[in-house]
Amino acid sequence: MSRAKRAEYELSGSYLRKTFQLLGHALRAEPLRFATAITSAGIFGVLTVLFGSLLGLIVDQVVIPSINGEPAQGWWGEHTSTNRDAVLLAGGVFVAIGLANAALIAVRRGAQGGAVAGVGARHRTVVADALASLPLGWHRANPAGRMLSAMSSDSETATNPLHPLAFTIGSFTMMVAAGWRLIVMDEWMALTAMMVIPAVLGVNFLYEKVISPLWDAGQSLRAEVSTIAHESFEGGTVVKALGAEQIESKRFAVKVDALRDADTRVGAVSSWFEPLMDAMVPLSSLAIMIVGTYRAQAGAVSVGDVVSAIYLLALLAVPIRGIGWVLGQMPSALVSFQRIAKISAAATEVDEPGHVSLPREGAGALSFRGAHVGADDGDGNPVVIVEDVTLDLEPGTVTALVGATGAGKTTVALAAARLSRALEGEVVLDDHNIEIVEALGGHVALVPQTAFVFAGSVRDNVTLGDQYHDDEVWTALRRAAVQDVIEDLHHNGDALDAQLDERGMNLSGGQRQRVAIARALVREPRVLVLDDATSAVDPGVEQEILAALRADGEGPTVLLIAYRLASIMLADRVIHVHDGRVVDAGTHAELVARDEGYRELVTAYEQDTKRRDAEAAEVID
Amino acid sequence: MSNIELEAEGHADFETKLSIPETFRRGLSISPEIRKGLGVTLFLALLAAIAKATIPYLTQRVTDDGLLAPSGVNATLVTELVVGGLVVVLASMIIEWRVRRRMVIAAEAGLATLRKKAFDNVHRLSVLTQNSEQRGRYVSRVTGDVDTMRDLMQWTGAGMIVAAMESTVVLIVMAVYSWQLALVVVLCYVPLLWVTLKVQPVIRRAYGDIRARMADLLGRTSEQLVGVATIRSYGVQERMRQRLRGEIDDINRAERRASWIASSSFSMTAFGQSFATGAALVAGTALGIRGDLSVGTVAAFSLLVYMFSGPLMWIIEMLAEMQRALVGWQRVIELVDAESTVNEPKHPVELPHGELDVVADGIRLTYDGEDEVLKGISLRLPAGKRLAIVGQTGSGKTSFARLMARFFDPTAGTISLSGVDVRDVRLGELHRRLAVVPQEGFLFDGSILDNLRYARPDEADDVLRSDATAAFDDLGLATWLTGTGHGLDTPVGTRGELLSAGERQLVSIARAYLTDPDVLILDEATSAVDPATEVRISRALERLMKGRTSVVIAHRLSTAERADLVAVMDHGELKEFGPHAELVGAGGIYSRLYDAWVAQTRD
Repeated sequence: MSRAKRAEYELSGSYLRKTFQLLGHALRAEPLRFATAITSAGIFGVLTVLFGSLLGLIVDQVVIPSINGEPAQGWWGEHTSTNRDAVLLAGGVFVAIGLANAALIAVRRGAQGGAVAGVGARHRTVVADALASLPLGWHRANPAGRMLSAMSSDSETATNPLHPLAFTIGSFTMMVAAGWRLIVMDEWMALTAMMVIPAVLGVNFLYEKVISPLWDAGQSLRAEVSTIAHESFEGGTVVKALGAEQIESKRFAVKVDALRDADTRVGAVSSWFEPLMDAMVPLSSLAIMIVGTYRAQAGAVSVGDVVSAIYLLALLAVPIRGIGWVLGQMPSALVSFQRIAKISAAATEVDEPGHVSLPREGAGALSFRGAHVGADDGDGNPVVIVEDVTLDLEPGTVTALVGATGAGKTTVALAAARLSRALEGEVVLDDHNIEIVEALGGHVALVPQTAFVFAGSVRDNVTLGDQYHDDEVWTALRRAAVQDVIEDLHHNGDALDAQLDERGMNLSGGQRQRVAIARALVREPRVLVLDDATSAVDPGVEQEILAALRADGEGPTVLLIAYRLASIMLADRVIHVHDGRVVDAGTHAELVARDEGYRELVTAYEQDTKRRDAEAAEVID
Repeated sequence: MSNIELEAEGHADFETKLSIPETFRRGLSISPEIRKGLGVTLFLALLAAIAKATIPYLTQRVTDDGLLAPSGVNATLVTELVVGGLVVVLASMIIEWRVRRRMVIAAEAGLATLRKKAFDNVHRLSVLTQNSEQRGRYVSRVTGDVDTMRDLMQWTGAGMIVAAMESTVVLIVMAVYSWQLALVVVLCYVPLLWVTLKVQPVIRRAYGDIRARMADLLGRTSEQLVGVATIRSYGVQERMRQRLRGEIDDINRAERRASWIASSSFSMTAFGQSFATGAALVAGTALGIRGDLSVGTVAAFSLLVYMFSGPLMWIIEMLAEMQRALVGWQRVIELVDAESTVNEPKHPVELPHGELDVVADGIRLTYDGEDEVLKGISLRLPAGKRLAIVGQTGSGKTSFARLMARFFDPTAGTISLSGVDVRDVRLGELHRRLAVVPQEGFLFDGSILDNLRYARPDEADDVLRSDATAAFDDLGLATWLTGTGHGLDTPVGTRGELLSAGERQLVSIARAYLTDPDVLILDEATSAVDPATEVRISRALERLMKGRTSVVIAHRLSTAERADLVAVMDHGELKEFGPHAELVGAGGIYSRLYDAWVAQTRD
């Protein structure tokens, strides 16, 4: 992630400062559309003033004379011969202004909507760009929902205050003009009218203060309700199997009731806010009437000035109301904006950290030299998970990493693909620290346990957009023992064009894993890292794949994490990992002979089979 | 975590599609709280509307009679009118506050009920309807869709009702002044409203399109989240970003398009305001010339048109919002009304005490409109015996086993336990006597003990605790339980994710053990877990099955080998059935499978 992008999303300083930073970000992201919308809003404001004065003018110069049987006056009288024509002309002018207004509204709202959409797209793009640049530790520490909600609801919420933005800024011209005219007219009336500004802002401020904690409480309960629903529906089969519908119903109802109460509290506060805001202008008008009356009695202003002041006051309040809308959405928008900013700031991984290009010939020699391997803890701090690993993978050999769950096997596997880091010591490929190897993916291919399969063609899923000939793809599929499955996907036409569903849902778990293996094999990697990549594959097929890897003697160096004894026994060397340390390394036979922990682990199957046989014998006796 | 709507509009899961009046009728009958006190609320809203409509009248009196009085400024009258105005403004404010508050309370109560009813019905649906893909949608219905409803009811609903009443009150005032002019104004609005309403479906489709694209984007994102390690290790970050950016740009374009359609529709109503004002002036002047109207009335009309159209414009603007909420409401109602296919028996029969045998007779099963999954399965499993069902993925073995637990019902045929059709047994009783241990041990957030409570909801805490300890002992899991650190109080996390897959399986075995069922349905796990846990699981399962009638969906032949009876299924048919030794010698599918297995493992 570039430094510029991070700076773009940085918010600092006071609340007000952050507010301006958020708005500034939006205006910078969509300058043209916002400018168009603001200009239309400004012209619209002017026309609104015009409409008001025109109405009075027409009533005075056309309507009243016509009804009283007198000729139309002013401009209207000069341009028409009969009163009938004058009336029609006046009507026509209204229609024309209406059309102009309508066009301005359409342009303002259309451009405004486009601008907001653009800012939303900018937020989403930042999140999308961050996805593959976030450290794996971040992904482990944060649920998938975090990214998904950043992509959807956060991006939306962060743009909410922008909807009334153009209208608000555009109508500022109206406010300034109205305010200036008021000051020229009479300072006391101006002062009275201006009171509406601090009053509206004050009510807004108070409202935010009161509502924010209530709103937060509601949001966290909303998340809890959602979590329970997720969990309960996901475990629907278990709920049914246990006949636990009643328990679940109660569990959900408790939270729903709490959410109802929290939302009712939010609603109770906001239900006085809107009417209070609505009352601001009428209340100020009443104040202006009183002040205006006494100023008129004192001869300081004319009666016409008071009437105008009432009208101007209404205009004064329009942008203020807009500010209220903008500010009202601001607290939640800032929270969402900062959530996106945090993701953007955490995306620190560089796409290509290497610069040394290695020849791509023969199996690779991969070594760990006193490596303390660690990962990001999700807050940007490195944590050592496996200590002091020293091991050598001879070119073309198969090495199995064996250890109980949580021993640190995956961390070692990830380090081989530069996805976790040696915080001390180093990981070396052909005598080069892998940190500086360019296009490491061409040398080391990692296949994780959870297969990455996306909606798209089989070809795209295997090549990931890199250039491979179809024959090469088919060869890889065959070596991954998934060729027949793919052939069955498409009965006519090219099976490589067959579409896989989202997350590969039209394949079984084992088939998805095999597609992921084909993806690694098509790259003819020099080192292949299989992190429990065959867990859902049928044991027989697993053997077939692994055996084929070394059949021609030209296969890659393989680092394998597996639980099945048969797979472990295929390895030339076995490394036993326990509690974040390498405890022993050697052949399977050597380890069985000297390493008790290893013996316990891998002979567990055998022991179990024997024990079961013994039990059966007992029963027969 | 926020609510994520993954569901595209128009993507109906159920056949019924409600009309708008039906939605309201059904929705209100599901949530009667919304209707409670609605009459009073509406009356108060009317009062607020009337109060609001008098404010411009007062302004006019102040101007005409107070400031422009023939005898000079009348300060006394102005003061009186201002005080009157103050009372009216404050009164309308307080009344509107009450209206909104009442609506919030009623709406929140109604929505809570709606949420609960929808949630409960999801668990009543058969497992068939509840497949994994749908579940995410159901979550978005009880969360996102209800929240859209809430936004409407809390923020716009009350305002809309007051606005509608304001327009109506003003219209009545207009008609009282001059019915002819009122008619002119209404006629001006009719074509505009007609066009606006015609455009609404287009707008709705445009927004539906955005939602569908949004769902695609989220799908792509979650795919890539799964594949982050792969994406980075192959160095295809930029290409994957491009995929997402493509989707984002599509959404951006769709949003811009929708925004232009919506804005042109809204600008129509703004035009309507000027048009109606102009028309009222022309028509009013014409009527005035004939002597039917006074100057004051004509002048007043321009203000009245403004007052009439303001709230109307606002309502039209909110229509899109309202439709979104209505669609959400419809979706939740659909979920509440979705018919559960597995129902409690009308005339329940009690299962006999003691061991139970299982008999399937001519079982056929067809999922909605798809190929037949089970094509007439009949077999008998004697009480206390163990049956292993083997067959390839798609052979129907899982469906068959699930029928026994009434996860859904067969299309034809019966399954009976010791002669009692499972459909005649109360669901509660059936689940006490017959336990299912699914493949993936699924746990609920809480402690291990909390999860065991699902087996015995009404048990006293200390009894459950000592029984649970004993259960872990019996299953040979005492050491494991001690090793967890906090024993029965060990937290398992959401979906049990703090435990490993194998450990979750252990807890769900203990949970089944505590139920003490007479019949067990087991789905053997396919994923490999670490050997130590694997041993614990198989040992615990053996002990759990001991002396109980058991049906195992077997993925390993070693499992089938240990069963009393083996059923071989293929494409929905029962091909072979009998003891392991017998089938091995029969020269059929099973013996071929067995020979291949032996050849592979024993060389």
